[in-house]
Amino acid sequence: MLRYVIAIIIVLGTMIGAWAITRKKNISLQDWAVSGRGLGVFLFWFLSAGEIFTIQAFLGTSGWAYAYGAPGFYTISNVALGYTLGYWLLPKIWRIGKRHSFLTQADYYGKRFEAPWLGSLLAIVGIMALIPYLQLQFTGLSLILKLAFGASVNTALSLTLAGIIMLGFIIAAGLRSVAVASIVKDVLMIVVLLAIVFTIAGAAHLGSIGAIFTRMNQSHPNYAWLPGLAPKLNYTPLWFISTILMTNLGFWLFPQSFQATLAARSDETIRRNAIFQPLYALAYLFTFTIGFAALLVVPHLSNSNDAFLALVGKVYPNWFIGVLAGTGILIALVPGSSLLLTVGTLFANNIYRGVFQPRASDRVVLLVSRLGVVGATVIAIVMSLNSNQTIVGIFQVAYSAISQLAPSLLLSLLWRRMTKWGVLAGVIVGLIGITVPQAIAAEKVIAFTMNTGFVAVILNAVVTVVVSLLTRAPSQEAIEVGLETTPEVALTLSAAVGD
Amino acid sequence: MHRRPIRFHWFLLIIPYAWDVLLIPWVNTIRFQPFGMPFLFLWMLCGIIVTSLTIAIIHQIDKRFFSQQSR
Repeated sequence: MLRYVIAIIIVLGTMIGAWAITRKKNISLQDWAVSGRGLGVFLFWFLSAGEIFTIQAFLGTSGWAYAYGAPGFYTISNVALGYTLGYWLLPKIWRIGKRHSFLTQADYYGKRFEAPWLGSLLAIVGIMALIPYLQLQFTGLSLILKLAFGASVNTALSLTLAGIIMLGFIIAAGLRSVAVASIVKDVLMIVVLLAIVFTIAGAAHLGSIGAIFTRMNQSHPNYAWLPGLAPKLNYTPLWFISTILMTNLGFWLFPQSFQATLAARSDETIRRNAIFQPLYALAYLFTFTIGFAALLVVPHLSNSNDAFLALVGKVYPNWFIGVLAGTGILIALVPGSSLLLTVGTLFANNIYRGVFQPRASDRVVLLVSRLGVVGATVIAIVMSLNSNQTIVGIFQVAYSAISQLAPSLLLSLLWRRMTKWGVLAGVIVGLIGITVPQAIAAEKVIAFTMNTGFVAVILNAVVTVVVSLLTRAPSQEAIEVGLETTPEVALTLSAAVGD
Repeated sequence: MHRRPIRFHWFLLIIPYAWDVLLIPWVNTIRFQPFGMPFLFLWMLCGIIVTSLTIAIIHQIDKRFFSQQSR
């Protein structure tokens, strides 16, 4: 009983508290979707941390450690390299978004290529990648609920309940509430991970933390190097590098990360955040170590998803499982809320307003966003109930899809000659590249041991360039949206940082 | 058309990529295990600190660079 009470207090306390603190009469579309572009360094850090450290980071990385060993280490660089690229990319995106009052990624594409239809089409690609990401949060959530409430609990019912909490939260609140809820979520997560790492060796009778690694070396000598514990899967250094590069390209293309960038108060906020945000990824030290401990204590699990929770469920007392369950539920719900919010805004702003009702007012768009959120939740819950894929597997699918938007975004900020037909052709080729080779089981022939998603991105970029050169150049006005070439732009740029 | 001066110090952003991408095939051949931990594991974790430092240095240079510009 104790564990239920603790878990429920943590989850409801955080969600209701965050909503109450940020409550505001007459919330506008701008407030809801991009927090009125007013987040300072502190809240912006937590919003970003809230979006990056999802259930994939929590259960997914320990699952990687458990199933494959060394290949999973690629995720450690994900955030750091994301912000290395982001230091250049994000202030640009922020300035462009502010100047043109963009709310979503698709708004940018529509304006940069003078083709709102292209924005709408890419919004669909974005939503297609967000849905599996959302599904993954629900898959993780159902695992945590099972740990906390036993296998007897009805998964469909408990996921629906969790979905309703999340919906209530995101419909009533907005992006700022997500940032505030993240403070609780991230502090709790670090505390829980620290507590587990420092006690697991003793609690599971492994000796010290160091003994976890010594024992791994004895029982699984191959885990420390690529290709790791499953050499047949060809997780070679080439795979490792290409996966890092692909996830790096896709990192800022996830529409929720793009949209969150617009919520910062200034481009200086974004630059400062880029210094401190990567350090949060040091938490992977804990998740991987816990994954290795799980392999020693509870080997032979049928699904690597369960590694973290099976270990904890086996060795910790009731009240701690309550804290862990509450934290785990927040780790799924908080990032899930921001994913939902993004799906809702993309749908309402770029599909509903973009395609069907061009003259819809902001108020109507806000209403449609909230309805879109309900639809997305239902789809994601149904998908997670009907799938037993690993978290890592779903994550890779989402990443290889979203990375196909990278060549168009990066080139559109650098290259004047880029055209909408180039974007369209590139994205189509990219999407074929991530689906067809797998369907005909020819990945290894085409890509050697490289990540197929990465190969598809390269093809995509080549096609984008070639088709752009063959089609008519865009207007000066459209180019300026992406290249920021006007002197006025350069002036505000230096004024913003010169304080 | 207005041209911004090239910020050469931004090429420092290559350091994190060299650390986490370029050097990986070599790092993977190292059999030394500090504290018994996988070398690649520690290498990637150190990469996070290297990245943070690199970005902090670039940001410092940027601040000076921009304040000179606006004078």
